[in-house]
Amino acid sequence: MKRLLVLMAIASALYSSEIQKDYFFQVAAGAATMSVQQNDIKGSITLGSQPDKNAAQINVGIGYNYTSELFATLEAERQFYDDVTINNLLVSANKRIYKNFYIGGVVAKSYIKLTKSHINSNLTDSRGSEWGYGFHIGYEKAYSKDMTLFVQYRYLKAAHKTMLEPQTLPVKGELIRDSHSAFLVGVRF
Amino acid sequence: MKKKIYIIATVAVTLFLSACSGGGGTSEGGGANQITITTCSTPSTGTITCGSGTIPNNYTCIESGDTLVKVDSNTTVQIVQNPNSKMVCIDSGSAYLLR
Repeated sequence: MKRLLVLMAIASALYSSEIQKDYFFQVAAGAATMSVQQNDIKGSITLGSQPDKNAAQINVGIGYNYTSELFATLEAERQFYDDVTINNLLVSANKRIYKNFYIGGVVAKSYIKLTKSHINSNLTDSRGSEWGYGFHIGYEKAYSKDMTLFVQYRYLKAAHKTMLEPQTLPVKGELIRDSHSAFLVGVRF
Repeated sequence: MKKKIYIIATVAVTLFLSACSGGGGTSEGGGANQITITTCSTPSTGTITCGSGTIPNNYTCIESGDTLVKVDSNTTVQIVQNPNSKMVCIDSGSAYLLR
């Protein structure tokens, strides 16, 4: 018992010495939705299966408080759709505006990986990336001195284009996965 | 110590996402099983099994998940659905199923 208390004291001291108010980690999870548009370029394609528009997502990040009002984050997140996986690397600049609310601008590099075809064909080019931009608005609540809970809505526009080109047929279409909305619940520490 | 953690975390995240690289767009293309759709004007000479029922053989059976491709935008097809089966034939133009 005594040894356990000593270990806890040491761990607490190490933890306390490592935490600086300026820096924080962030872990979050939530749900995302995506807008998908299909365009026919030549001929007409009726998809065999519809694109998935809803996903679960996870998010990790690090942040820095410049002042009590301004902070920045670097985040990585993954969204799990049935037919694609989207990974976003995001940088945001944020301002605490009113009580515990904050808003922020976001720039992102968004990566897509196709996992399923909608026209029963091979995925001839399954990976792509696009730049994106958007904003988020959130609410944070201090749970303890070193821990803050937050909820956040984010809108990100990053247009991923997937060409639909059935082999041997003179037909062409495209799927555009355009805007992404995400609702996150997480903790900063 | 703290800075090291952040540097490591940043590098790890960057490497993780770099592994997902592949610039620009994506595409779905080759390898589909292409099925020619029959024309509606072809006289029926019998029936074929489709779904849990049978259909006239001047129609092509549509299975769940089939992709319908019209080669020209002007192509017109007839799609008939009943409780047991779903079928298609071409009125004009050219069309295929990808299965």
